[in-house]
Amino acid sequence: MANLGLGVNETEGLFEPGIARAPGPYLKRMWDLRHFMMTEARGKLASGHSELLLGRGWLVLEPLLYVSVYFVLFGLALRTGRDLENIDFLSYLVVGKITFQFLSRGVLNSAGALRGSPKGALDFPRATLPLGYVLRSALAYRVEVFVMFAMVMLRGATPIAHWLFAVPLFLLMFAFAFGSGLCLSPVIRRFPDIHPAMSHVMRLAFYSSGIIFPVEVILLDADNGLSWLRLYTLVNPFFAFVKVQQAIAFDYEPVPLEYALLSVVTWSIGTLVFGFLWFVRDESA
Amino acid sequence: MNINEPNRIVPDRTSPVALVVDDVHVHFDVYLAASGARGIKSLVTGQRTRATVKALSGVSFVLRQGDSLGILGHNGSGKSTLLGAIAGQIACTSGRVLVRSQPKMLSGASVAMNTRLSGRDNITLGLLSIGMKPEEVAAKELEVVEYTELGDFIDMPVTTYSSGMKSRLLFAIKTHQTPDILLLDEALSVGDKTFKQKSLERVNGIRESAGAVVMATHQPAEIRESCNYAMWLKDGRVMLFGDPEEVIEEYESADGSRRDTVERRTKQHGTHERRRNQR
Repeated sequence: MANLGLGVNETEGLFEPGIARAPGPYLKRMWDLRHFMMTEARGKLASGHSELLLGRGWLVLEPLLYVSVYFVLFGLALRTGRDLENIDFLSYLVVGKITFQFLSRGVLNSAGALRGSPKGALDFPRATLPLGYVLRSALAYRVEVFVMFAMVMLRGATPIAHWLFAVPLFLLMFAFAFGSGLCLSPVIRRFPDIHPAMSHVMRLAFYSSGIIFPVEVILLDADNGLSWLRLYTLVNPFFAFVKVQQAIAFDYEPVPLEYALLSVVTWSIGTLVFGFLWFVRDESA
Repeated sequence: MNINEPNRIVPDRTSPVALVVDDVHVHFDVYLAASGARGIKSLVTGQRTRATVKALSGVSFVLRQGDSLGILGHNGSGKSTLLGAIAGQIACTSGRVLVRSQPKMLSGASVAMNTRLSGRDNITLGLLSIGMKPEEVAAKELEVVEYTELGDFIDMPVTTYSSGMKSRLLFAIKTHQTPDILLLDEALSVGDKTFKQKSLERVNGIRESAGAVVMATHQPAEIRESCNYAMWLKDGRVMLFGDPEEVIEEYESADGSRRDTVERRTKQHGTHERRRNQR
């Protein structure tokens, strides 16, 4: 320290301004902002529809519309669901699409949360930025999940107690989306060009996760041996999340449930824990 | 006064230290836009011309509880960077800042406001963002709403506001609490004549009740009025730190010599003009 004319112990109790640099205090700063984040996510979600005549009705309409389009194209015209035995294709599609939608929206938006944000210390914990996007996505999902179960019921399923497992699965999905955002957003701040490319990776994931046609029937056929495509499908987190949700909604188990659960838990806890430590380290570097 | 001996600046006093700025350097890396063939080459190779801007070079001082420091300097002298570093918004390249409590910045520049939401919603968010509990917000919100004098507009989206209304809302959101360490960037009066008076009084009130104040300004008069220390910043270096009168005098004589010439020239020009008219 330069000679500032300070007495001994005079700097006691002083600290560096800005964000906390250790994971614990950092987490506390985020917790203190929980009401802010919730209110903001709610406000932003609502304001996204504020100038539309149907307002929040679009939260219900939107999933209905995109599912209808896919159903006409793939279900009726291309009949991609013909390999699904005894499984209603519309239910299969609705559950897959709505589950994937929440994940991809959460991952993509939160990964881009730091784009254009300056490097260096700030006076608020920046992990709240990706979290805000995932929260907003989750608030929309809250409505979409009702649409999802309503559609499954319309197709003849009766409500069963284990639909409640959709709640813990939602928490895992949330952790995975936020964790991915924490892992990717510091990288994307440095190399922003990754972000526009990522939406194409998401599209690949969408077509290869058993949503509009059952990749599992073709790829997981044991006779095919261990091909790269088979390995990719087994590792693909989106595939695992979609299959667990389908198992919850209408008892569909193309892969052993234990395997899918293991994958889902590993991906969500892994990305969240690693992502948080990595993000905080990057913030204070 | 020698600025390399900051110990001479702070007299031996007993009130607790509120803020320590210890040999702070802030450098920014900027990328220069290349043009023509070099620009195309840089697109291919990804190499860009980099330059380092030294925004602050070795600033040191100590403020105690009750101190008020005014920073004088031209645009680009590093005033805002210094305030940003004290607030923890800008990372120091070397050196460090220590504070007794998190400083709060009141600046003329706009903070993030969600323009699709109503004024009231923005007030709620502003209050929550400083960590207030929802039950505390309800009571405080009413007070802030009244202060804005926006009437029924408070429940309309901010997109419908005039710029004057927007700055009034922003001012109300930012000035509703008195921080322990207050940072003021430039003059902060907004709105029409009556609101300007009201906002000036509010800033003065906050300035008086804050524990320690650092304010950046072009106006020596403001410093003379309310500071017990002044600092003259030039090109990121401290030219002088100490008694406001002394610093202002030096600043104005260095700066004023230029202004005098300009004034003299206009005067001469004016006499010429008059003479010509007389002919």
